[in-house]
Amino acid sequence: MVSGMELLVPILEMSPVFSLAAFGQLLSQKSGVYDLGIEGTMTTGAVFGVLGAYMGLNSWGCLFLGSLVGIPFGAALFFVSEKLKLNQIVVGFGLWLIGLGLAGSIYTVVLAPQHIEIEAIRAVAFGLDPIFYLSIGLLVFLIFLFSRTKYGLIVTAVGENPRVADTAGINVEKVRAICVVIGSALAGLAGSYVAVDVVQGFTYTMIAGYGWMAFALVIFGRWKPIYVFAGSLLFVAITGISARMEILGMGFLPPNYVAVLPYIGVLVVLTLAMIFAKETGMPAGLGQSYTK
Amino acid sequence: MPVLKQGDLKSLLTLVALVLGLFIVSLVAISLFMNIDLGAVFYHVYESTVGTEFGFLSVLRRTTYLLIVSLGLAVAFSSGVWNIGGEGQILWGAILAAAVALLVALPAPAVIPLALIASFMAGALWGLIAGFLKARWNVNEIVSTMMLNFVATATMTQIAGGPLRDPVVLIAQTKMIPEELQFPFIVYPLNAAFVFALVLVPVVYVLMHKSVLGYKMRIVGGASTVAAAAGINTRRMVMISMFVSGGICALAGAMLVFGHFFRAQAAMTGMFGFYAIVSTLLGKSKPELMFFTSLLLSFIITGTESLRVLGVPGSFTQLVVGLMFIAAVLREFSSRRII
Repeated sequence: MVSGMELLVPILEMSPVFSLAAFGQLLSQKSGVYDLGIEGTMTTGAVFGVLGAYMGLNSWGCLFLGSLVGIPFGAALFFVSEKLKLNQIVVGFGLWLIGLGLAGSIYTVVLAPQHIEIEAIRAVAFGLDPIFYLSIGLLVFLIFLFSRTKYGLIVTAVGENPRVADTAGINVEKVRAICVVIGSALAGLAGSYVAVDVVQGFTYTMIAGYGWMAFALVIFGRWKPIYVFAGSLLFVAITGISARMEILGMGFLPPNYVAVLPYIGVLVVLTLAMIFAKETGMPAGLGQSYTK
Repeated sequence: MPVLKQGDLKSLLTLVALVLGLFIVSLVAISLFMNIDLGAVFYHVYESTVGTEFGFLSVLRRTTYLLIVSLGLAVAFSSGVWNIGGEGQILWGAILAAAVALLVALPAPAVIPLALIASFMAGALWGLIAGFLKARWNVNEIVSTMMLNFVATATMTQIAGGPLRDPVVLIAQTKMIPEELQFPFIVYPLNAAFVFALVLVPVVYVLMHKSVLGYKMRIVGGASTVAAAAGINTRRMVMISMFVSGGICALAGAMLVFGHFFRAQAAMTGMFGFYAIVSTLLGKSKPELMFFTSLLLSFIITGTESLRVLGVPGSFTQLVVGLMFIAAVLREFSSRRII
């Protein structure tokens, strides 16, 4: 007999990978900016996590370095999208490939020849590490931010209708800058968490679409923190189940397909969410640079 | 054959300057980062691209596949649909091309058209999944096409490692297609697939710019509210655009099988499905411009890949191509402000 906790802990353990990245994406999108570079930001965050270990930092230092490296990605996205008023989606794709390329290059040149040991992050309560509790804290913070505070209202207003927000005296650029940069830092943190805690090293394909999944999560969660978090747990469960199936060698599906079940699962889950969604909750001003 | 307009030529020149500028900056950066002699870096880029006949023909060879995928993506992009599923669609095209070539025992003039039709249909139907999901339930196509890429890769590994497997090698790849089906070289290493890509340029031009269907798709891409007001079935256009887009991208897979690898396997796309997004955007989805932007991108990729002999990692190519997206947006900036 498996107790509920035994089943739940592995899911919760992995959940920050999705939830932190998705919260970052949520924040960015709530203010009106798509962050399609997230997969690249996460990969670069991951390699900087390992780089931190190579430089002798402890796991916390590694995670900090990983989130720090997200900042230039956010800054670049903000600059091109809001300062130059150019297409967010195109810049996002660019940052994605730049992130992949940068991470791969740094890894190959600097890290691949080294033997690097990374200390896993120790669990503090119920077999879960502080990063998990950080993600819960962030969830509570985001719920509180968007439902109870003036600042949440400001971000929502900027994402929904930047012109009205501007007329009301809100500095649209400043709000978007803050949201996009924090969002990217969270993506970097999620990436370095994969490297430091989940994989304890770096491989070229380790982020394996997690960034795109985080992007999907925000749509799935209708831009609401609690649904986004629930979605993260669901996505981890799907990923976990297929990993378990891969090990056990389930007979009815060829192993190649078992390996891609998470992606099929994400697509199916997102489609179901779209079918049953009465309203999407998408910020009306999402994707458009604001020109005064 | 479509001709370049004055404005296009001007914007193309701006673009070449931007692209080459960014390319040179990245070459200087990698030489500093890896402590390689900058002269050697430039020498290798020059030798492998325009410095030798073989180099130049290699650039043209790579242009072939980038151009075909760009033409495919342009159909979706002009219709306002972000088809990021080029990788998967290429793979489906390759699977079907290899399967028909290996399994259908007919003379070459019959097998090749059959293989092309099968490839087109496979990629088109694969693209249609995302098109349908978007049209019917507004499922984000960036997510769906990206997820479907992973599934297509699994399908390729499954088939190339299963029924069509080449038993001689360890990795999952299909057997080699019969020699009489392999495209001949025009001049080594450039093969007949290049001609096929060139022929496709006016075909897509006519489809998108001279036909009613293309006109409707472009209106949907420009402003879907206008399209709806004009009585155009927006959903239908989204589905048709993904169908055609996926089909054309798949033809690049077929060309890779017939012209380059003579077999199919999962790593064969060479990220063309993603890289071609840049050449499409740089060419503003205009077929006549995309020939030049594919050529430009091919030059950059070929040059960058040649640096591997100096120990530059393969990932560096992704970095450089990523920078080209920045060139694509900056071009918009310059064209608005200066020209």
